Amino acid sequence: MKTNETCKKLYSRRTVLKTGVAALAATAIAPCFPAKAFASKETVRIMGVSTCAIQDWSSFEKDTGLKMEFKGINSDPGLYVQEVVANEAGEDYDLFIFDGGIEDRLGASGHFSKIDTSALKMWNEVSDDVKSSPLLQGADGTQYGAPIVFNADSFGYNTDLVKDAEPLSWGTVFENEAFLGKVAIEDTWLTTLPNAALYLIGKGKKITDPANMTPEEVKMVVDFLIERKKAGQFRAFWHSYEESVDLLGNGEVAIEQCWEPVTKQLQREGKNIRYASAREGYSKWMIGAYVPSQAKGERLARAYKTIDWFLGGRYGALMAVQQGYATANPLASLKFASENGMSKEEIKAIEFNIQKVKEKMALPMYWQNSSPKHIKVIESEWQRFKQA
Amino acid sequence: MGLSTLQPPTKINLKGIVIFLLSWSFFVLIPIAGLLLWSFLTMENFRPVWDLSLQAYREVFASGRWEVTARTLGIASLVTLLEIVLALPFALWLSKGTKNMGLKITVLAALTIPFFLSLSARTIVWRALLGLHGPVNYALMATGVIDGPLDWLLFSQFSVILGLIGPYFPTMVFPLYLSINLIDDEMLAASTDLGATPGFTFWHVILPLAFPGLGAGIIFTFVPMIGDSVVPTLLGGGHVILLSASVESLLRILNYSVAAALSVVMLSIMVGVILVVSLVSTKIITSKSSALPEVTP
Repeated sequence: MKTNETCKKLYSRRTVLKTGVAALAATAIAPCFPAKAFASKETVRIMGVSTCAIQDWSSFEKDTGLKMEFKGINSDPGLYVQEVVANEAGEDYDLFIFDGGIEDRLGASGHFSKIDTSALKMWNEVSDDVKSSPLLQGADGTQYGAPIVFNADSFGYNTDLVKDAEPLSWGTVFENEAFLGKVAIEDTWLTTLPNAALYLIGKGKKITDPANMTPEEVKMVVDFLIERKKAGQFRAFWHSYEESVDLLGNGEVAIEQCWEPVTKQLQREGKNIRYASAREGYSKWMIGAYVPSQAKGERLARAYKTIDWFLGGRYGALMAVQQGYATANPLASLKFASENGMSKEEIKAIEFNIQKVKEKMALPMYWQNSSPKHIKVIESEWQRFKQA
Repeated sequence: MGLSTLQPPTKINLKGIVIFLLSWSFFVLIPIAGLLLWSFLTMENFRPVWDLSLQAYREVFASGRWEVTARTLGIASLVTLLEIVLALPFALWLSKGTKNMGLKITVLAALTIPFFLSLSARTIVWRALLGLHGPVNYALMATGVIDGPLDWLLFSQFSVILGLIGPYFPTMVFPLYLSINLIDDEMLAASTDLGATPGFTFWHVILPLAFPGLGAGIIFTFVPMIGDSVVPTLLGGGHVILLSASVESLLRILNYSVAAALSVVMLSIMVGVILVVSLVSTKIITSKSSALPEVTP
């Protein structure tokens, strides 16, 4: 019955979307076969960013009795929105896991359901400042997302060359006459513009929200960045994790706005690299789970069961040990680790994570926003900086 | 003169023309018409708004994206020119300078093999070579040519141009080689017998006859280079922004209308370039071949 329903929906939406008769026939038939094939065991289908995936879902399947079908995607809001809006991915997937920010619009447009927190067993164990992140709530405060993974980003530096005492100012990256041409930044407006804004706020400039700047504020930040670019501050703009590891690791730059795992990896390679405590604040990101509005009944129940597992101890412990990232419920992770005989070192990694998150949360920061109000102006201004 | 003999002697093949027109409209005309339409729309909440405006075109110019277009065309033209300078003597040597078939096949294979490696893998090597702590800087400093490392070796226009030369060499060489190879050896011998210097033979016999190959080479090299995203991303270090990155950045935020407008601007320039290239080459071929008898000593 469930299968028939899905197929009917597929027919109707694809009839509207696609005109090619052959394509219609092929796509309409294809999804029906796998649905029948795993009808015996309940499957939860997730479309999510690869960052939140674990290598082996067998523990999930054991804990929940659900089979996991995870489709990994990149953190590319354009592609994601296209999947959700134009291709109506909510018909095919029970849950989306993606970088927060876009729920303001996709929630308001009716593509995501409001999270029924009473249906989640673990919800009350999650601390309030985590679940009230603006990256999980709509502009009006509606809870559209559940927290999965998050972190607070700053910059890495070579301690052989940079001797300043911590905490360091973002000026180390953006306005550093001693290290002209020795700095790398990320090639995206998403993090670089708000980070520069944090620095300018520290210098007394008026910017209300670094992650949601007005056109005038963006222009001011970009004017500043252009000035620094012309002064020769930036050696390179990186585009990928590997590139950022390479630039800081081989000494092409001494300072780099980057993700924390970059410095972890270089430390393991024996390099004197440190992830800075930032004086003006951090760039925080949050990957949340969002329920598509098409998920109803049994599909909805599976989605909630899955979210509950993500909020539990096993996932948190795995993430802390494997990636060094924070999860919604670190105390449950610690409990899980000690009850399930994880090694002393792994428990230490989890404890370190709890401490780190506590310290960083206390500092001012902004939440990365992949869908700011003036996104077109921001992208356009960013291009102006790149071309300068 | 060659073309007229190729034409069917009596009637036009109507079926063939219909098939061509249908598939051409489907694969070429419809996408371009869609692109044009998009460029006059605006997007609101991920959906197009159906009132036509020139807003997208204004944004192309306001955000300085036209500079990217100009830079892309500039770099692509320069590299294409460099390829001609490098490929002409090479193709000449390969087709006329050596008679050894084994050598020819080996050289052609050597040019083809790099295509089996991904462009990123081939390009990333330059980063290790040209970096501040790379062997090039090291060698220059060790030999006392420079005191400190040269930072313009990498993440600069220089490195992007250098990186583009390798991958786009074969697309220039192959058509040139084929067209020069087709030139009858006796024609060259005749030119020499009549007292022409090698330079004269090159300018008045080889070059005009190789022009179709040169035209094809220019199009096969120049056009794909315009859209290259790998080399400028890896070797430009974010300092040399070319068209592909600019369009990609727009698509990432679903700003389809500006992306479409930028593509329309680019497409118009490309059609212009191709028209000029084909017009000029036709003119040169006809004028050179008609001028030839008069300059014979």
